[in-house]
Parts: sequence; C-alpha cells; structure tokens
Amino acid sequence: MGALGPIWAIARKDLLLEVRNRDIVVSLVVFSMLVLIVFNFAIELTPVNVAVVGPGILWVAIAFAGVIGLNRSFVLEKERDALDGLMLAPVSRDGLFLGKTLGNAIFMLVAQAVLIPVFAALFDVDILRFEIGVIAAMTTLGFAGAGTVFAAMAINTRSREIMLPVLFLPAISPLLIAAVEATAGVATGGSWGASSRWIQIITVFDAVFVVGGALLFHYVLED
Amino acid sequence: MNPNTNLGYLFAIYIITWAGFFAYMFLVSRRQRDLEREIRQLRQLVEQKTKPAGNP
Amino acid sequence: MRDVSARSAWLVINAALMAVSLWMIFLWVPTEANLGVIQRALYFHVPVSIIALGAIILVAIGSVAFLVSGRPRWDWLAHASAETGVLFGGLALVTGSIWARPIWNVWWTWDAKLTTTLILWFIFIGYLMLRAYAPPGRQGARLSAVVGIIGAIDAPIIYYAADLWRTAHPSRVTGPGASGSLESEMALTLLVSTITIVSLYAYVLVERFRVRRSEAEVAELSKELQASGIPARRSDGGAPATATGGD
Repeated sequence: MGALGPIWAIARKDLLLEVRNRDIVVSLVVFSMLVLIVFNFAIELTPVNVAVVGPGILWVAIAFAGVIGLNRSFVLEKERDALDGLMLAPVSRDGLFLGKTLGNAIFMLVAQAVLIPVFAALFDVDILRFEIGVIAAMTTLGFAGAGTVFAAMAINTRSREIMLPVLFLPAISPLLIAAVEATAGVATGGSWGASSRWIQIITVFDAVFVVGGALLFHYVLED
Repeated sequence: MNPNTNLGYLFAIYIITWAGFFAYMFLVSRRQRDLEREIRQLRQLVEQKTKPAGNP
Repeated sequence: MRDVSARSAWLVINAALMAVSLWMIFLWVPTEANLGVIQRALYFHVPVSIIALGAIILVAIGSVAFLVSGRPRWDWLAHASAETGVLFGGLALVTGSIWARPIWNVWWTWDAKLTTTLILWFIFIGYLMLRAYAPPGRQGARLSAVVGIIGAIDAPIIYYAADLWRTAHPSRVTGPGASGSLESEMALTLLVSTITIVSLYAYVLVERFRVRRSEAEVAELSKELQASGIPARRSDGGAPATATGGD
C-alpha cells in the first residue's frame, strides 16, 4: 500500500459520496445519451457509414459529458469548502491529483459501461468487444488526468463553466482523434494491429498527462 | 492557372499581415502611454502624502 | 532616457528592414515559375508561422522559469509571448488560408501543420482567457504557467496525431505544392524577410513586456498609496486589465 493509501482514500471518498447521491454518473449518462440522440438527427447515418462515423459520435458524447462531470466533481468540493479541507489533509498534492483522477476516471467508466451498449444497440455498430474496453479505459484515464488539472484550475476562476471546456477540449484533441480512430479500426473489423499506432498515442498522452499533472498539481492548488 | 489573377490574394495577405501587426502595435503603445501617465500621477500622490508626514 | 533612444533606433532599423524586404519581395526576386506571383506571399507567411510556433516555446520557458524562481519578470515574459504568439498565429492562419485558396482551390485543408497550428492557437486563446478570468496576482500567474507548460508538451502529441490522421484520411486537395529547392535569390529574400519579421516580433514582444512591467508598477504604487492611508484608486489601479485584443 504505502504511497497508494492516500490516493485510494481520496478516490474512495468521491466514490462513497457518489454511491450515496449518484450525482455525477447519472448526469454523465443522461447527457451523453442526449448527445447521441441529437447527433442521430444531425447526421444521416446509414448502415454503410455508421462504423466509420459512429465512433466519432460516441467519443464526442463521452468528451462533452466528461466536461460536465469534471466540472461537477470540483464544484462539489468547492461548494462545501471541502477543497480547503482536502488541501489541509495529510496528502501530498500529487496524491490528491492521482486520487481525484482515479475517482473521475471511475465515474466516466461506469457511465461508459451504460453508454456503449446503448450506443451499440441504437446505431447497430459491432462495438461490444474486449478491445473497445481496453481503448475506452486507456482513453478515459487521459481524459480524467487532463480534466482534473484543468477543472482544478477552472474552479478558481471567474466564469469557470467556460474556462474548463476552453482549456480541456483543445488539449485533449490528440487523445480524441486517437480514440475515434482506434475505435473505428476495431468497429470496421480491422485487425488489432491497425489500431496499434493510435494506441501508442493514447499511451503517450496518458503518461504525459498523468505524470505531468502529478508534478504540476501543487502549482495549481497552492495554499 | 493565370498567375496574374492571384494578385488580389497576394495583396490581401500583405495588407492583413501589416494591418494586424500595426493595429496591435498601436494598441500596445497606447496602453503603455496611459500606464506611464498613471505611474507619474501615482508617484506624485505618493510624494504628496509622504512629505507632510516627514516635516510637519 | 537612454532606453527611449535605443528604442527609436530600433524602430528606424525596423523601418529600414521593412523597406528592404518589401523591395526584394515585390521588385527584386524573380517570380517562381510553378506557382506564379502568389508564391511571393511565402516570404511573409513562413517567418510569421515559425515565430508563432517559437512563441509557444518562449511561453514554456518563461512559465518554467517563473514556477522555479517565482520572479514576476518570467511571468511577464510568458504572458507577453503568449499574446504576441496568438497575434502571429492568427496572422499565420489567415494568410495561410488566403494562400491556400488560389493554390489548392480551398480555404482550408486539415493537414498536420495547419491542424496543429489551429489547435495550439486555441490552447493559447485559452491561456489568455485564463489570464483574464483567474484571480490577479501570483495565483493567476501560476495557473497560466501550468497551462503554458501543458500547451508546449501537448504540441508534439497533437502534431503526431494530426499527421497520422492525415495519412489515414488522405487529402482531396491537389495542385502544385511549394517547390523543394529555392533559387539563391529566393533564399536570400526569405532570409532578409525572416530577419525583418523576427526583429518586428522582438520589438512588439518587448513593448508588451514593458506594458506588463508598468501594470505591475501601477499596482505596486496603488498599494503603497493605500497603505499610506489615501483611499484613492485613480483610474483602474492595480487591476491587470488585458491591455489589448490583438487577436
């Protein structure tokens, strides 16, 4: 345990809170499904193009919902002045960052566990595979890492609702591109190897943002 | 492709570059001038305030 | 006032460089056979684009140095570089579009360089918005420094992803590209115009830096004044209002 103890303690706190009021996961699921439905009418999907276009819609829904969930996760901390408490807790800033990242990643993954089967059913895309699970988990880690840094920043600014997406969306664009392409590669029946370059990008992004976030987080939340 | 029909694009590129650059330059130097004036006024105020305190 | 005379000398040099490079671009250098007269746009577009990317590195250097040393001047450098970088990036994007229209018959194509420039441009728009919305003083400076560093680290990942995406979705754009080799006259013209643009950039960067320094001085003086008991906040006092909307 050792170093992992505080990280898990922070994540567990968020998870327990979530189990009690189901605030974040429900908003994530409802919002991302609405995005799917809106896209269904905005883009004419045919059995031919759905395997190519569908993954894009799926990941846009996840990314947009992610913004809402991340914002919520820090607004909850701020509203009850819990953030100050957290900063006083005997947890280093990188531990705090990793704990919040883990918690946020789990929320997003739980929402995806609902969203992805619904997506597969609504759009008739062959997507319920092990590979997609791996891609989703890895991408979500990057989303959560980058998102936790930016959400912690945005919470301390005026008009934080706009600050988070403005910082988050361009920064995660390579991750979004890679996730869409890797998912499309698997959905169109391409070999696992065809997606490997994209998986590499996801891996690099995850590593950079999780390590970088942990290193920089004490500048974001300084007392 | 007749090269001469592209002259309009060429001039547009140069005009936009110059206009953008000089507009920015103008705004920055105007702001600097305002700030310098403000600094002078503030300095005077600080001096006025500290002087009577020094010799009553 | 030695400072002032050095700056006016620099302005004179800038004006001379500008005149020389314009003369070379429009009168002296031969027209490129393949692309025609529009190729002359590259003498400006290329240096402006390079500076836009270089500005990001400067923001990152200033940000790292500020976080390590805590000295405000590094923060001023990062801020000045970000704003001028957004200006040059915007110019690079707009002039690139106008260049693409006659050459490729489209205003925009999602190639790796353009895509990366556009996304980075938005990241640094975000940087400037953060500076405007974050609490003034050290906290805002620290937050923006983190964004500046993240932007620079993200840049190669964005480029790699955009490049790979491009090979997966080949362009429908066809037409002559910029030719590989430059005639010696063209190379010389590009060199002179690059020096000109770099000098202009450096000048505007220094000017922007001075504005930041003056803003800090105003804030300092207002604080001093308040401490000495005068409730006067003449005009906008210490608020680090964004000076300009150069974008």
